[in-house]
Amino acid sequence: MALSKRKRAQYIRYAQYVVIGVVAVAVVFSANWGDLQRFFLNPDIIKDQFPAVITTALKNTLIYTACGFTFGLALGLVLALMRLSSVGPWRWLSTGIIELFRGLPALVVFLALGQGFPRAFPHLEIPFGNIGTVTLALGLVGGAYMAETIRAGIQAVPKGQMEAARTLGMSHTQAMITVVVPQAFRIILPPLTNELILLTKDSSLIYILGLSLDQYELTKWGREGMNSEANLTPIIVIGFCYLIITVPLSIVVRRMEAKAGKAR
Amino acid sequence: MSSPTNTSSPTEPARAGAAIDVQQLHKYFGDNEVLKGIDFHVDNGQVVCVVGPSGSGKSTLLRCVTLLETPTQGKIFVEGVEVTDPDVDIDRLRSRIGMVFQQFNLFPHMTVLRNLCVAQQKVRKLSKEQAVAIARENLAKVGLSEKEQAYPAHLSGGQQQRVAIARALSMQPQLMLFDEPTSALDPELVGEVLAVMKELAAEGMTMMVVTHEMGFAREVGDKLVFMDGGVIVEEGAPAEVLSNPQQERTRAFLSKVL
Ligand SMILES: Nc1ncnc2c1ncn2[C@@H]1O[C@H](COP(=O)(O)OP(=O)(O)OP(=O)(O)O)[C@@H](O)[C@H]1O
Ligand SMILES: [Mg+2]
Repeated sequence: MALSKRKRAQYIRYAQYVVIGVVAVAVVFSANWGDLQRFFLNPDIIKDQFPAVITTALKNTLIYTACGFTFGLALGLVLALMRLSSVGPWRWLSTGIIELFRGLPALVVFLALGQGFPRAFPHLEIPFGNIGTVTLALGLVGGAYMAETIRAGIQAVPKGQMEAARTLGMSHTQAMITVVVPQAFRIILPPLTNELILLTKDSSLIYILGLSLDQYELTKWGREGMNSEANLTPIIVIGFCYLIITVPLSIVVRRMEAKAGKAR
Repeated sequence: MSSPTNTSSPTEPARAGAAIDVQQLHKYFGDNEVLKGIDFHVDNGQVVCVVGPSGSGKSTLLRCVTLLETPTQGKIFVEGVEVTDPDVDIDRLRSRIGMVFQQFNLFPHMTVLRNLCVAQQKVRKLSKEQAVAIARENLAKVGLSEKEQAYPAHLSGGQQQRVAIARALSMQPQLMLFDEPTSALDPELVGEVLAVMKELAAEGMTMMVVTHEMGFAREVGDKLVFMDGGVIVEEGAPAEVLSNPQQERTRAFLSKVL
C-alpha cells in the first residue's frame, strides 16, 4: 500500500461524505412532502400560534426556568458548602438530599410537591401557587445536580487561594465568598449553563400541576394546540421556540469553553 | 545552637523582645513526625533565614507560625501572643503576620489594586479610600504603580511576587514570613524580588525567610538556621555558618548548594 496514513484518512472522510449525501437525497425524495407540510408545517396554523405562543408560552417557560434555576443555584451552593463542611451531620444531610433528588425522575418530584404535599399537609400551602411549586421542584432537581458541580468547582480552586486569603486575616467564610466561590463559578460556568438547558426542558413538567390558560408554557401549549387542531404544527412551533432558548445558550457555553481553553 | 533533645520546659513564657518564639514544636502528619522538637526565635527587627534540604520541614515550621498547619505539640508565640492557645483570635493575629508564598497565590479574578485592598476592607474594615491609599503606597514601594489595573495573569512571575509582597505589606504587618519566594521564578527575575526584600529588611521589618539564596542570607540575614530531618542542626551568624559550619550535615548540604 502506497497510501500514507493521512491520504487514507482523507479518502475515508470523502467516503463518509458520500454516504451521508446519498442518505440525505434518499430521505428527501422518498418523503411525502405534501402530507408532511399539511401535518407539520401548516402555514395557517403557524399564523394562528403567533403572537400568543411567544407572549404567553415562551414567556412562561422562561419565567418557570429562571425561578427554578435561581433557587436551584442557591440551593446547590448551600448543599455544596455543606458537602465540604467539616461538620459530619451537614455532610450527611446534603449527601442525602443530593442523592435523593438526583436519583428521582423530575416528574416524581413535581408529583410529590403538586399532589403529595397538599394531601400530607392540608393546612399548609406552597406560596405563590404554581410558580412556587415549579420553583421548588425545578430548584430541588437542578440544585441536586448543581451541588456536585459546584463542589467540584470549589475543589478545583488551588488550595493556595484559600491559604492566601486566610493569611490575610479573612475568616473561612469571608475567604469562601470573596476568593474561592467566584473562581469556582468561573470554572463551572459551562456545566451550569448545560444544567440551565436541561431545566428549560424539565419546566414542561409543570403540566402535572394543572394550569390555567395564561399559565401554559411551551409544551402544554403545543399539546393543547395539537389536540384542538388535530395537527402537529403547534408542536413544531414550540420545538422551534425551545431551540430559540437553548441554541444561544449552547453557543455561549462553547464560547466560554474556547476562552477558558485559551486562558490556560 | 539548638538540638533535638532540648530540655527547655514547654511552659516557659514568651521570650522578651521576640517577634516569633517557637518552643519544643512537634508536628506530625499522621505517623510521620516532620518537626521533632524545634526551639527557635526571631527577635524584633531581625532577618532570619532558614535553609535546608527538601523535605526537612522548613515550610511546615513557617506554616505552623501562622497556623496554616496545627502544631501537634509545643508552643508558638508571635509578638508575645500564644498562637497555639485555642482561644486566640487567629484571624486577627494572621492579619498582623504577612505571608509570601512560593506560588504567589494572587487572586486571579481581581486586579492588582483589588488584590491589595480586599483584605484591608474586609478584615481591617478600612474605607475604600484609605485602603487604596495604603495599596498605592505599597505598590510604589515594589515599583509597580503603573500595574494597578492589571490582572495577575498579565504580569511576569517577578512582578506577581512583588505584588504579593505589596499585598502582604498592605495589611501593615508586624512581621513577614517568606516561603521560598524566588524558587518559582526564572533566574533573571529573582533579582527584582530579592531587591524588594532587601529594602524591606533595611527598613527594619522583622522577617523569617525560607530560601535557597545563600547570597541573600549572607548579605541580609542576621541569623541563619540550618534544618535537616525535622530538627535545627545549626544556627548562627550567616557568614559564620556559611564559611565555617560546625556540623557535618551542614557542611554536606552547603557543599552541594554553594
Ligand atoms: N499536608 C501534608 N500532609 C502530609 N505530609 C506532609 C504535608 N506537608 C508536608 N508533609 C511532609 O512533611 C515533610 C516536610 O515538608 P516541608 O514542606 O515542610 O519540607 P520543606 O523543607 O519545606 O521542603 P522543600 O524545600 O521541598 O519545600 C515532607 O516529608 C512532606 O512530605
Ligand atoms: Mg517548602
